[in-house]
Amino acid sequence: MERAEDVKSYKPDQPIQDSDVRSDFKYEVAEHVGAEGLLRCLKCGACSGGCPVAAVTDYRARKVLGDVLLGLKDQVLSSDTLWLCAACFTCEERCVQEVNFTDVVTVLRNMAVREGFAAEGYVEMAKRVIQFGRVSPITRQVERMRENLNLPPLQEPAIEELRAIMESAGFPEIMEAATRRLKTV
Amino acid sequence: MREILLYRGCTTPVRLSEYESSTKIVLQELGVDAIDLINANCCGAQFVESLYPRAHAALSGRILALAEQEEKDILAICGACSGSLKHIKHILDSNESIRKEVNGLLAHEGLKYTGKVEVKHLLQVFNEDIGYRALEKAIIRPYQGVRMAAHYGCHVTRPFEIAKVDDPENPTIIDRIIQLTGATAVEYTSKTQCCGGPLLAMDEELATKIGAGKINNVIRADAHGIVTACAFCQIQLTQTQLGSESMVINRIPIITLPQFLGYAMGLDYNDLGLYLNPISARHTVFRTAEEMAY
Repeated sequence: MERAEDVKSYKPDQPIQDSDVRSDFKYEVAEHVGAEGLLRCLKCGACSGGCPVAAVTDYRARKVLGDVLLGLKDQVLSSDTLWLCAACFTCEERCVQEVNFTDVVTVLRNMAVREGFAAEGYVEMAKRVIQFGRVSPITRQVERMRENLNLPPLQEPAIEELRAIMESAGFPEIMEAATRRLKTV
Repeated sequence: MREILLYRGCTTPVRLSEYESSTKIVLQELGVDAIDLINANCCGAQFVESLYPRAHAALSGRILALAEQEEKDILAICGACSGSLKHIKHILDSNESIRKEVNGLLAHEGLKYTGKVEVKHLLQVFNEDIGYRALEKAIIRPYQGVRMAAHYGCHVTRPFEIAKVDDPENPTIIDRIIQLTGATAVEYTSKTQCCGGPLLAMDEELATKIGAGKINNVIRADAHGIVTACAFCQIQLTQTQLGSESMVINRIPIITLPQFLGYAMGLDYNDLGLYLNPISARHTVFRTAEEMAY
């Protein structure tokens, strides 16, 4: 069992004001693919109960959902806690209301990125994907290891084609927005 | 021989080539030819997915479309990859406007997604295509007195509606294979829990703590090692034990499923790349006949 002093805190300590509440926020979120289940949430807490991150921090999926349903748009989108979900889908499997919290978090992150709030580690990894077509670049040592295992030499993915697709999809603009106000813990 | 397209992902070939090679030689022995899907990119799971859904759909959609050109189903050996490809396939199959948008992007390369190919995780190939009877027949060097813990990987089995691999709360495929090899499949607390890997990009200390919690539960269950079926889990469960910041009570070998199964099938220790596993199981799990007698 974890002792109380071992639990890492991510909780903001400021009180909520009326002016923080954007009552239409939940409808805005629920319009996105993947977040349709949001409005079914009963805030029962089954999500937090099985959450591996909740076992070692004060991060609570139920609190994220509660804040979204209340309409704390700025607080939710600018918060570090949005990037603490491990996307393990345990809550999604156990939710009796089929809220699909993991997918709701992805939608919230997508929205946060457009507001300039992205976790730095995520931006760095996404940059690698676009630059190399993979998250881990190829090194000479890797090539030797593969030779010893009788594996074929690695080809780089079709980088030019990939970049063209990403540019047409508007990814450079999103990356630009994401890096406007980088968040780190 | 049955053929399947191996989507190696972007991490396995670079950081875990022993998983790639052992998958190929084990499947070959069992009558499945795993052919490399060449020219493929990263699937976009987690990082691109969290930033921009359209880019994620295009990245995974491109891989699905490349497989359609080859007219073969896809085998994914990383949970993040199988999860991402299945997730995007589900969206492309059920949402016409997103499918049109992705196909518009893929048209640059003359690629098109129509939904013809299936995505299978390695566990499905063992369970559905090869079957336990054939696996049992292939075991010629059974383990003796070896206790192993199965770690399934979140995206391998969840969410069930999309993954369709195994019972998400009580998975059994890896456990059954462990039992078939003559070893004992060990039950332990937090069996279906995350390895902590996805948190590395946000809070490394937290990722390490979650991984170590799982490792410690396995050690308390008296296992000799952990068997995995995901590249990211394999890497995370290993590295969470290394380094001065590690919180594990002891070190325990992490072994990919084809490496573990392959040795019981009589395949060579070196051919399975077992010398590359940073926490060696050379004298515990993979004991020689002399060591076992002793």
